[in-house]
Amino acid sequence: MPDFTHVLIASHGTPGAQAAEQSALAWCRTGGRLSHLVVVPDLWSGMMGDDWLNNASTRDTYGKYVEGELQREIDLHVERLRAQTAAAGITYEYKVMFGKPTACLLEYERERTPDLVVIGTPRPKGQLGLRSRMHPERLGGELMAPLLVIPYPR
Amino acid sequence: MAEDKFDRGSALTIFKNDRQEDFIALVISLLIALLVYLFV
Amino acid sequence: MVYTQRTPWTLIMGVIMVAYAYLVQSGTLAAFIKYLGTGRHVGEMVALGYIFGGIAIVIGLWQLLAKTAEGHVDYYLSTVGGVIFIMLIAFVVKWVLDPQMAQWGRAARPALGFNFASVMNLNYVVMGIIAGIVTVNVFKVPSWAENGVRLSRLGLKTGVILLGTLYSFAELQQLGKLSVVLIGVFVLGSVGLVLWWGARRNLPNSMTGVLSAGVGVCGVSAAVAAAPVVQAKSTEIAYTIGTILLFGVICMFVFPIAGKALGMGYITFGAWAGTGILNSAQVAGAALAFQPEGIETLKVAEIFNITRVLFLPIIVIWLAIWYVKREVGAQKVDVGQVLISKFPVFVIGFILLFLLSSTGIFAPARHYQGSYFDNSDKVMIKKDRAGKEINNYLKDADLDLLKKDAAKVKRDDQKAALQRLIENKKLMSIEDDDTLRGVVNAKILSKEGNAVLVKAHRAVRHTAPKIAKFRDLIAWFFTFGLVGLGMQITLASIKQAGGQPLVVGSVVGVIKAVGSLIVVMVFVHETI
Repeated sequence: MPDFTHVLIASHGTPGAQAAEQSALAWCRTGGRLSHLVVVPDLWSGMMGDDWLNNASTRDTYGKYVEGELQREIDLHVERLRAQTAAAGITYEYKVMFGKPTACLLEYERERTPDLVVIGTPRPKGQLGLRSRMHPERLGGELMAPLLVIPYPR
Repeated sequence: MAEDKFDRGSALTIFKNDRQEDFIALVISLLIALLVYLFV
Repeated sequence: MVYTQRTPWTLIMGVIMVAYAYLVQSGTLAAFIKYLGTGRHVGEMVALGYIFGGIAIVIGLWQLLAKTAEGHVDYYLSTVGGVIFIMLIAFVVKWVLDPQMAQWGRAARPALGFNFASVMNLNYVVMGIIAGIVTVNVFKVPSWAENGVRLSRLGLKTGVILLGTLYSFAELQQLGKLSVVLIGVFVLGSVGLVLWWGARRNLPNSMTGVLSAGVGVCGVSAAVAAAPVVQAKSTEIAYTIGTILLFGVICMFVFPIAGKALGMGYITFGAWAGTGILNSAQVAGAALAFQPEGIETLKVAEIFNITRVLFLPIIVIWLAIWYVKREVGAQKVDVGQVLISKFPVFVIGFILLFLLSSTGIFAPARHYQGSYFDNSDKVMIKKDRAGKEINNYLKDADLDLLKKDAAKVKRDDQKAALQRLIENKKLMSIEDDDTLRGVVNAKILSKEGNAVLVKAHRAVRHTAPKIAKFRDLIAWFFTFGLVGLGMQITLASIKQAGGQPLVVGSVVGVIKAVGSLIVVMVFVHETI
């Protein structure tokens, strides 16, 4: 197995992303570093209640609730990965970004300058999930590091 | 950002809360009603 | 932070508006206006062009040249760019695109066999919303306009409050009763249906809860209110809101088309849209799309909207109790606190303006309480300023036209009303007037026959100038609000429609739309 000292993984906890996480761990050398990017897709800004009938308290409660819920889901995910990296002797760091997945990944890669970038493939048809995805074609053109795309687990 | 005094409102409204938005809407309405009453 | 952005666009838009107003005023654009047939809007074009253009030029210059500092002035003035942006879109849509589309519709009629502009309701309201949706999804709302777009809710609320001036006691009472019954049955019914079905399909309680509120009461507002109560997961929220938005946008276009095809009147359509459409903003959109040149449908639909808002706390409390029963560790709710925090204050504004208007300060009491109907000889035969007599009774030629067209009318009530009109040469009652307005709107008669009906209607309906002004203003506030709301409908969020919420939501949504259609058609009469 070739090994890299600094691997960047973009994942958000779906089965496809978890497969990518396992590969990222496998490709990262012991004592290396795993940078984990969690994107909160900007579609959420269209989910903040388009309507005009609610009071501030309702919308604030909702906004805080959604933030809290996303945070809770991200925390669970991060904790799981933190435990796995610790077991493998890999330094772990993560960052939560808000925006379009592809743009966020490019920005994070520029910031961290990893040796390898790992992502999962877009979700196959029929699998449920949020419709917000990476565009590997664009990544391939703009990333500095090599890109590894992990197939969806079957 | 939340602690910034002049960063307020949400993605949907510029007002800090809806009571304020409702109130402003009422003030505008009354103002328009007055103008219509006086000039039309 | 400083919100003002140094952009020349506010200034440029202001110059365009003022230039347009000037060209219209000076008569340079007379040929263009004649071509589009927008002569009746000239006064509005000049006034609004100068007002908004003037504001934009002053503020635009200030934003460009003055040193801006953090503060209230900076914050509130930063909205001007967006407001002008929306108004410019509204101007183009209302004064150019709407009449142009109507012409294309007529021109394409021989080729297509139908007038697509009229059948698809491509009027300024619908096109304004589409313009908003296209702006945000294709071009992105410019950053200097974002703060102003957030004022669209304020526009809608102001419109609703001003709408209070247009009702009579009798109307409000009857519409109120009707809306409470219809909303009560269909809202509680669809919430119950989703809860039952969700349990049958073993959906998580949190998903069922947020979905039931969404398809039951007022769409996204209700989903937003219910999500924290039933502790919905993030994907459940995304699926549900996506589904509601998708369904709502489809409804907004399908309802007016269906309403016209079925020959519905203002009250039946307003009641149907108010009950069947999920999202409250889209109810207003559909009502104005159905009847862009008048406000009767909107008046009915908004009463339904207000009733829905008042039902929202009830649903939230119901869901809270339902959820607490099913899930351990769910938080108990404080009923009183929910009622207070969910009460929409702008409804009080609406009532206030209604009371103010009932005192008769905007219109003579007779006009207002009598629903503006008067067919006495005092108004039917008038003298103009020169002392010449104007007789508003229908002429023999008009009656011949109506007799020729009479066979086209199929519904019994419409036949009878038309017969009475022909016999008396004038409309005899409010009921007849409303019935025949429905005939006009459905375009059942020939063009000439329709013109006669409109003439008969104008002869007996009298609107005080102040009330007429309120109507125009309200239409503008709603246009502003709806274009702005269009700019908040993103495809990224609609695309999230999926999973079980899509299945359950669409089925229950369709049941509600069709069920309310049947009930409205059978039980609701065209008169209030």
